[in-house]
Amino acid sequence: MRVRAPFVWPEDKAKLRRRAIVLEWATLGSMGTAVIVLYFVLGNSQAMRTAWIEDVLSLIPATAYLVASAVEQRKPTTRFPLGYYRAVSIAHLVGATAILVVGCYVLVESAAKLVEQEHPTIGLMSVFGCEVWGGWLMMAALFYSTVPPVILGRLKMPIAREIHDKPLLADAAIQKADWMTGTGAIVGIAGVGFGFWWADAVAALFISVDIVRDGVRHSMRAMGDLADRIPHTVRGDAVHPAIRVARDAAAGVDGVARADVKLREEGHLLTGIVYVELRSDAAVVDCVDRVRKAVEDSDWRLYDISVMPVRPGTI
Amino acid sequence: MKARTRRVLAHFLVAALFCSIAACDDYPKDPEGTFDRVRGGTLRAGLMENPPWAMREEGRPSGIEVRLVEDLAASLNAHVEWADGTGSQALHALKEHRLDLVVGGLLETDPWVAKVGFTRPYVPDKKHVVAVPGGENAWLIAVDRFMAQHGPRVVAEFQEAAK
Repeated sequence: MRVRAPFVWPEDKAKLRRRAIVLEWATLGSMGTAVIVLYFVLGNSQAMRTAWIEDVLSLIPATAYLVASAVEQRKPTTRFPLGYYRAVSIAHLVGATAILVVGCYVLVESAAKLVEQEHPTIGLMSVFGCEVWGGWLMMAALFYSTVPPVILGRLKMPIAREIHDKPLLADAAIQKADWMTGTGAIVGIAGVGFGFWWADAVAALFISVDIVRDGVRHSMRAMGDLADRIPHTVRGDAVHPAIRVARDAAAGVDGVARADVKLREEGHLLTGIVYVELRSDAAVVDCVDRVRKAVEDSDWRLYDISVMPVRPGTI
Repeated sequence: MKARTRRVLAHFLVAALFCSIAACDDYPKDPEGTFDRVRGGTLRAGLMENPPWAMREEGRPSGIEVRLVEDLAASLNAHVEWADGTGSQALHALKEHRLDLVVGGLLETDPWVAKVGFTRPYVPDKKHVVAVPGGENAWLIAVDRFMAQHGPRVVAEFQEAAK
């Protein structure tokens, strides 16, 4: 079978992509230490346990991202003639599912705590020979666990848009969830100290609604992209402007009377078919080549475009 | 107000809030006010038969932890009211806030830790703890501090007497 020519990243985008990978490694590293720190101050506080499990789950999108970007680099083979570009869309779905699971988990957990009227017990802990209320240590550990997500999430957002990277955005979304649950848990534990046993569960409940909404949104997008819906932008999830740009580029080629496109997303890339009505039947192959080049040059994402001449009057 | 000024102000407020909390002596508080009620009042205690920690001799509670509870009550100007129940009945009553404290050689590894509150082990190298109602954090800390301060001495006295 004929094998696709591998996609070549434009130099500036390739640089951003390498930076995204570095950021994801940094995410794994910093969240990993937060998981370890939280583990040691867990005690038998359910509030802390939830925050901890949430941190463990939030390692999934970053892991999926790193696996996908390694797989995506592979060149198309006779076994996978279309290459591995979809791996990125799969990572998006995996990451989105992780967000959804985190959201549902926190939701159910905090609702159950309210229903069972569970009063969180937090006693003394000793650090370096000093006895302090465990709540202070928990708040400190939670605060530590919210710092890296805020920084990394902010760094990832603009890159995700520049390199059309939806799993990267999903990962930034779970980091938003991270710092929100962390902050919520801090407020909750401070409230527990004031004698409001429900403070912690109520804070978590509000936050979980937001996480579930993010999870649903990203899952729908990821499934849509895997089911070849019309390409959408990373930020705002609107119909992608590159579609119109591609159509205009095709229509502007010499000898093309009318043009239309049928595109889909494959991870970072957009690919598909350009339909053209040609003014003359002479030199069809040359014209088709010009159209393909014009479309592929119109936006860096457009890759492996097929050009299909059609009978006049069908577009 | 500019966003930057507002942010600085917000940080300042949060910091001020935490400092004022840290300066309070009655922080953390009990949601059900156990500590305030026991001080100068009645300490409702339960025991589980487990010599030498807690047992009944001719109907009278005795043992290492019983003695510690009596001392704790004395230090708080409270008097102890021992409940009749035996075994895990006491822990059930504790969970429902019908008791303020349960002793009986409980270990920190006991699965009841998820339902009620445990102090930390009060004797070095042993795992014995005292149970209080869940979430009563000020009371838990008061019991924990007392046990850590007096537990080792009382345990040593009983060991001496046994010899």
